[in-house]
Amino acid sequence: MAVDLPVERERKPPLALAASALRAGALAGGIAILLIILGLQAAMWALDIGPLSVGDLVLAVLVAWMAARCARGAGTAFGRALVGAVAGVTAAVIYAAFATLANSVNLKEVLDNVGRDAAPALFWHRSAEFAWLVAVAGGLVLGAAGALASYLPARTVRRAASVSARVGAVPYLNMVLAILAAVALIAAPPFIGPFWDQTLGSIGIYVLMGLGLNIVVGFAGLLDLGYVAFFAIGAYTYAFLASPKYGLHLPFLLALPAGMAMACLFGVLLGIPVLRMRGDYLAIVTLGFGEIIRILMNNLTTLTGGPQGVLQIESPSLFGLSATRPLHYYYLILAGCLLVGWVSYQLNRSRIGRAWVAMREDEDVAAASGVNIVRFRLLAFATGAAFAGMGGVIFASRQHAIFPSDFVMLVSINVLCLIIIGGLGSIPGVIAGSVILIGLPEVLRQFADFRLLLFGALLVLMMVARPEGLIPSRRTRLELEEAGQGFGRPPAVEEPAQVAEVRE
Amino acid sequence: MLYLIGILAVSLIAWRLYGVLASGKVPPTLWGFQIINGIILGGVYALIALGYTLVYGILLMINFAHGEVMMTGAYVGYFVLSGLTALGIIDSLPLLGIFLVFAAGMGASLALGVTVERVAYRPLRRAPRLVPLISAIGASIFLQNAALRIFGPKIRVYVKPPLLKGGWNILGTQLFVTRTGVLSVILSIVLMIALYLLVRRTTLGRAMRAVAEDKDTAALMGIDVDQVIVRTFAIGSLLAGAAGVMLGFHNSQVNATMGFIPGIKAFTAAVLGGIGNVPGAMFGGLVLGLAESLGPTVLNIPSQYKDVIAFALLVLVLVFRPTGLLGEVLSGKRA
Repeated sequence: MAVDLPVERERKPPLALAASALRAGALAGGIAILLIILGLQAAMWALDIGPLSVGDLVLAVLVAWMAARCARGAGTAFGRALVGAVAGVTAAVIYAAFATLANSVNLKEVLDNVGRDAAPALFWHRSAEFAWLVAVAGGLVLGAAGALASYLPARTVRRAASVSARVGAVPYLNMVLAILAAVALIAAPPFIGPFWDQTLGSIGIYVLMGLGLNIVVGFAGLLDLGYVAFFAIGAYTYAFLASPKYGLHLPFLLALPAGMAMACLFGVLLGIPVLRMRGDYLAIVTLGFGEIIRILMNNLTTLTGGPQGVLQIESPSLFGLSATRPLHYYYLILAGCLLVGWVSYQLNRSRIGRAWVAMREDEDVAAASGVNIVRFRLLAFATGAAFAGMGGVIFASRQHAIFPSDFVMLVSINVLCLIIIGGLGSIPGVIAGSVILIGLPEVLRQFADFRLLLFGALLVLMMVARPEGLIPSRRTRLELEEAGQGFGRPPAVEEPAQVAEVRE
Repeated sequence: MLYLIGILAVSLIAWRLYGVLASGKVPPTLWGFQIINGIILGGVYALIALGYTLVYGILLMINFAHGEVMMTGAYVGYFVLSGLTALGIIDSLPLLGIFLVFAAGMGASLALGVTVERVAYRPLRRAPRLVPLISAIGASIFLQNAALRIFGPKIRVYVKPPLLKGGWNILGTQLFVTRTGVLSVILSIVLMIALYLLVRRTTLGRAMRAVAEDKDTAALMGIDVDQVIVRTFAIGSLLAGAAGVMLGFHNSQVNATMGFIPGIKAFTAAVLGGIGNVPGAMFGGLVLGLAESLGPTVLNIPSQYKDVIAFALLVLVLVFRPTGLLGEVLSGKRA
């Protein structure tokens, strides 16, 4: 967020200060109301920590933070506290006014989350007078406290925030952590129970898909919004080859390459008509492609079983061992992830990877430097599709039944989100993204309804604050910094330290 | 190679069409009915596509959230419509009531569109192209789910005022057009002309074209680029709001996911007509509407495949005429 909101350093005249205090207060109040009408506040109020709930804490931090932001322009400590208090009280009045409105009129018809049943919670289940008193007093104190906290030099705050970055600089730490994680991933699953095996397996399937899409979007820079199509093709191919549907019972080791090859073929088929398209057009056409595949699966009833899907898909068996428990699937998926991760790592470092990057940066220049655009574009589509096909095969064998509704566009969006949050073009980033986006919702069940909402917000937030992702690849990071130094966009506030780090 | 595909596609369509005509199973009334449906659908697409094409023309970015901005307009229009119906204003002063519904929906869309621009797009103006595109997708997902949470999953039914109920039979035949259908087409034509004049004849329009051409040079010529972009979003969002309310009246219902597919289709229409081109959006909308409505009959396939036809049409147009049917030739970087 700091990128967007430069810190106000110079002193301001009193009138401007008052205006910015009111604005910050209104913003805090507005965000609080947004959280309430979204129903997020209620979910957070349900989480108690000691005497307070997470919901109260979030509101308090929100007010203090907004107050701190607007108070920097004031000269004296008293001035700052005053400005912060004004902001805090403004936010409190807005909140309390909304709560009163919700308690006197039934807003259920318009705002689903603040009907008669939910409104008393806005008063903390007390009287209106009590709630107003608490809100205004809280706003006053928190605003003033937040404003005084703005005396902490910005640099200290930033340094505290970048501790994680510094931890990364300890030699060999990354490697040690990676080895520990690998050991844990291999050794722990037998002891953590089927729920976690299942969850880890789901994460793993998304890692597979993420690694594939990472090649298309991250390495080659081709935005594909219909990636789920290849996942679906892999899954359906396996379902046809290893179920009673067509009476075929191919062994897993034959059906897996078949599924991957089929997905690969469709990758090339999609790739050919879009050879000359870039960016946005590509996004919309691939999105259409994904939808077309799903519609076909849904309507070609004789071929695919239509909405009833394909049932009784066989479990994979390798070398006489048949997968029956989530644990077995987990190891199968882990093996797939390792293979795909290794292949993409090698591809990225090879001539092919460099050609993709060149193509991503500037297609015309790449072509002029001898990169065969047609070949490398198709290669990117085909490789990405093959990985998704592998994910699909494993998915079908694990679910034992697949339906067209498993392959909606949302899956594409999920995969895209996780590679972006992890860091485009970064393999560890894909893993981190899958753990966060697929693993966390499994654990935080009470927020399950808000999953997509938070995904959307997270995507915007990531793009604004940290477009390179959580674990950025070196190349993407440098590229984004270069782009950021253009005319017109002020250099980001927190960037200088990081730039130095990268260039060292 | 490309021409071979083209010839194959055309001959396939001709063959299927000949089969359908020769079988004589489709009566002329059905054809007329499909054509009218197609034109009305096209009008609705065109209405949404106008806002899309305007924003794309200036910023060269797909505003994925456009469909959601439209949906918000439809919701707010619904609430105002319910309120006015309860107050009896819709019955006593129908024209004023409908005007207020449109005004409220457009106002809400305007506010939301400008907010989205401020929060999700403006900080990314200098970033690589993928970045704002992803941010737009995020904004779209967020808004769609926020609406689902805020307004609840219930489907809201627009109660048509008597003025918009029913329709006419054309020339005494059985061909029936609804009033809302006719209104959508008229509204989209009027707005298209207004938008065309705005872009071509006014100072703001000239500033918009300058910004579309080259932001930095425009800034050097004394144009406040941020302001022009905000105004572009404001106008695009107003159009989205009008489209949302119109869609509400036409489909008689609103829900949180109503914006997404029409949004994608409208973008397709805008691309078909040549993106950034105002009359092109109208033309593309009509072509798409007709293709979706006539396509299944012509090709003798079930109507569930109309989305497949729409996207196949998009791919074909992009392959053969990447600039769209009416599009001007853009340089490679912009296409």
